[in-house]
Amino acid sequence: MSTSRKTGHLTRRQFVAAGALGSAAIATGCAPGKQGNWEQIQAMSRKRFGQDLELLSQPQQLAIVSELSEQDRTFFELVRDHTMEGYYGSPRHGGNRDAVSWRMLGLPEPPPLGRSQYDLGKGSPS
Amino acid sequence: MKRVNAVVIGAGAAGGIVAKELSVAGLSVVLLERGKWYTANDCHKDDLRNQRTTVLGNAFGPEDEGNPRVWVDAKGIARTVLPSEGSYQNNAACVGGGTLSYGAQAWRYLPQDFRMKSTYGAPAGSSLEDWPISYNDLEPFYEKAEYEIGISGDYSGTPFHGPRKRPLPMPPLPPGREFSILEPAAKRLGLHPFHIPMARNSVPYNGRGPCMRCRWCVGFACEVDAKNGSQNTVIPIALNTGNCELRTECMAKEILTDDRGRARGVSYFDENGHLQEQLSDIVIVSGCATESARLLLNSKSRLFPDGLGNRHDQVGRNLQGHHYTGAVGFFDFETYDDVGPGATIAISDYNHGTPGLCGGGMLANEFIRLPIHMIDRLPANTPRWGLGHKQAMRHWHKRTIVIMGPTQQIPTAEGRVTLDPTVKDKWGLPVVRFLGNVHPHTFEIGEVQAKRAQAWLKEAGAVDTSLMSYKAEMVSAGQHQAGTCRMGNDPQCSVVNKNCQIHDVDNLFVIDSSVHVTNGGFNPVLTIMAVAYFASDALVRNWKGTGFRS
Repeated sequence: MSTSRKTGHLTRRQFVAAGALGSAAIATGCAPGKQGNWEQIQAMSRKRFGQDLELLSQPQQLAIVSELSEQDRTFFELVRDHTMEGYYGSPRHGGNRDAVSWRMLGLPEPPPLGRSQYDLGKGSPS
Repeated sequence: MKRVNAVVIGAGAAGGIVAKELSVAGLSVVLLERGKWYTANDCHKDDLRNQRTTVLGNAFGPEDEGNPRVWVDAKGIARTVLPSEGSYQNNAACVGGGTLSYGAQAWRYLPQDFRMKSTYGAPAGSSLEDWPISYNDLEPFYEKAEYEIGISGDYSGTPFHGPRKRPLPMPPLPPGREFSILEPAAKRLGLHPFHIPMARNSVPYNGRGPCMRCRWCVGFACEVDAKNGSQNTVIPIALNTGNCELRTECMAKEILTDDRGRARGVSYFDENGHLQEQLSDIVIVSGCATESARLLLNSKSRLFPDGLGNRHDQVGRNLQGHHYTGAVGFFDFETYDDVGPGATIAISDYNHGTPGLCGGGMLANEFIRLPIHMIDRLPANTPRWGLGHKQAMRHWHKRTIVIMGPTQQIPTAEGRVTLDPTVKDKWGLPVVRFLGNVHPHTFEIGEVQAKRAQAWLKEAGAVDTSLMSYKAEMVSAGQHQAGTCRMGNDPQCSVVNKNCQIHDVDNLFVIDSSVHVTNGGFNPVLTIMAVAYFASDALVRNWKGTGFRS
């Protein structure tokens, strides 16, 4: 389960957090089957700050990520890569909601849409 | 099941052309493809699931489930790998093969590329050799491929390419911003920049419209069907003859032979997993370098105990792809225009002629980059995560240019495809086991190429650069895989003759990149296509109505 689904729409602060620390929620959003690792992060967060990662302040979140990077480099790199993939990847996977990262980069959103010969009967392009 | 004249195994770049040429000539053909038939509607524009970025799997096959391969690393440790992992060396598994989702650079090799051993001599430890055919032999078939598949571009800026009779059928796409930055810089360096030949419509061609220039190009099916592969050119023609039947999701098990040692057909698993036999007068293997070799090796019998075409232990050897190196340039102005396909400008000044180097390669700007491609291409000392990384992404994403190119590899006999003794795929067939590494001289050439890319970027005004140069830890194959069933005149050290016919089985052919003796310093697809036309031409000329006479 991804954080966005758990809490509804992410707040702006959570978006910032997602970019700043690489929200591990996004990692789970694009890596089904990694829930065990997500639980590991949440356990770390609850133990140190008493609540789930997405509810922490940004400095607290950063502290958790730094702790993770020192504790388990292999796992940290996995989370880091999945986070980047979620955040900069296609919005359909939940980690780049409303194409926030693409708009940050100044890429046109929505992107140009084309129509192939297979679409010609379908009316105007969406 | 009705006996046919020809079974073609694999509906990719080569198999599609062979099926078309034979069915147009009146032969009855069954075209087997292990993957599905996708259309333009399967583009999906998914940055994480396509044929180049496979975080969530390959968009166009094979699936991760049930299709493992094995590679043996330098320490001798065998690793089982999935199709979405880089070391799987995947191309694609679908109608069109790699040509459905490729970037579509459609290069002619240079005349010297067919005479590498004569030009340079074979470096120690290599299996460098000349092709048994020349550029001039292939020239008419390059032209046929350019016109039937549909190629845009303009070679007129380069003096290095071989003679040609007709220009490309379509002009290049209008230059993007990177072209306008890189072209004058190359000229200032005394180089000869020109428009990359592309299997992509720049104007309406073959009944389909032109490129709409979005950024979801390489790795994707084209949303407007402007990219030309076998799936939207030759295969529909083959089917329209009424002589060709395409069977998708059919996995070849082995090539069947009779007690005189001639091919009599193919056994395969159909889309429901049922074993079928298709008998035929001739069999053509077009499964791409890795899988074609695997099928021959898996076709064992009393007369061919080590697999077909493998009497002299040649099948699977000389596996080669391309060693890609280059540089990233960082600029203090915007270089990115979000206009696809992105790759537009190339030089072939460095393919040959550098003293001390056995060849070289083309250099070109990279295809348009998706944001995900940038995350590890930022300037040195950029934080790997957090706010610093994000700010760097924001600052540099539109201010970088990547120049890279395919260094022509020096083949070795030890870099090869074999069968794994234990691991099987979902059909119970032994899977590919990769052995060996890239010849060390290839790395030396690649390093020089990276510095040349860097120099071009600096001349273009890059304020900072980083080299993309590395030493691979395994044999190279991937989308440009080639070489495993070498074409040659000597049966002792090659697998097929110059007409792509297995030396000791006269009605069995391998027609795909497997037969490439060397792989040029260019994307190989147009050469695969030209060889397919060349071999089909010989095959049709030698066809005697009821059977093949060599």
